[in-house]
Amino acid sequence: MNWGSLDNFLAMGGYAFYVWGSYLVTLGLLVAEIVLLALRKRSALARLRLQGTAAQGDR
Amino acid sequence: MNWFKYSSPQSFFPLAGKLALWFGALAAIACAAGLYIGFFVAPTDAQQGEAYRIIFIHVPAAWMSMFLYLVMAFWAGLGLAFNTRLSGMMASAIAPTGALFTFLALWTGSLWGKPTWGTWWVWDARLTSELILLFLYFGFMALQAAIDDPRRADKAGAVLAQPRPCQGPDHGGDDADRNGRDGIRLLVLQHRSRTDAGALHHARARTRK
Repeated sequence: MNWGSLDNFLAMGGYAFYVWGSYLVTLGLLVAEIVLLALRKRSALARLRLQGTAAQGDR
Repeated sequence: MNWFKYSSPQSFFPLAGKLALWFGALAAIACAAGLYIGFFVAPTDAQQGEAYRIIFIHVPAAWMSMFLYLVMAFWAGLGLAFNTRLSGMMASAIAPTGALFTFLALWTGSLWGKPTWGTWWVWDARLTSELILLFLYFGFMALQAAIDDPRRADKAGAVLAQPRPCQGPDHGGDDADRNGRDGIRLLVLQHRSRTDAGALHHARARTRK
């Protein structure tokens, strides 16, 4: 498929709102999930580390 | 080979950390290839113009929404059967992703429906059962979040998540056939949610004691 120009590609034959509305929201949510997962992993590891030091303090 | 070796979170976590990188790279490559074919190889649709390109993410999202539910229910069921901690972790980890793809299926379907059907939404059996699927994910997450003890939360979630063959909307068959099947699915679903409410009530009564 040859779009000819970037403007034509972005215009999506008049359906830009629907096509890009779908793709951008999908992209945004997928990126958000990856970021949230990374944050969750970091906080889980930090919590474990905290529990580890607390357990050592008890001894 | 000992199949239960990786059912312990301690031995699974390092393996998952290594595999996640490879799977992530594979997913990125597949995404790039799919987007390239969807935008630059596939020709304009004769009837729908460029709006049909939404289908290239709508269908995978809808597919994932249903597939992830089955995977989630599979792990939850395995957790009930073998009492493995990791199974419950898998199920809880999948739920938000499943909800995300269900939302995306609804969102992109709506954006495709407006230019193609002339409406954002209809209370058709397929669309309605996809919406119910979203609520099932929310219900699963809410139930797990409401129970403090993780093992108990896993069990309650597993009972709630057991698969109802009714909930998958599909596009196969002719309209009469499809409406008939979806009608039955909705009936079964209503029945199941009632029995689930009963089971939950019992579970809650037991927890109070």
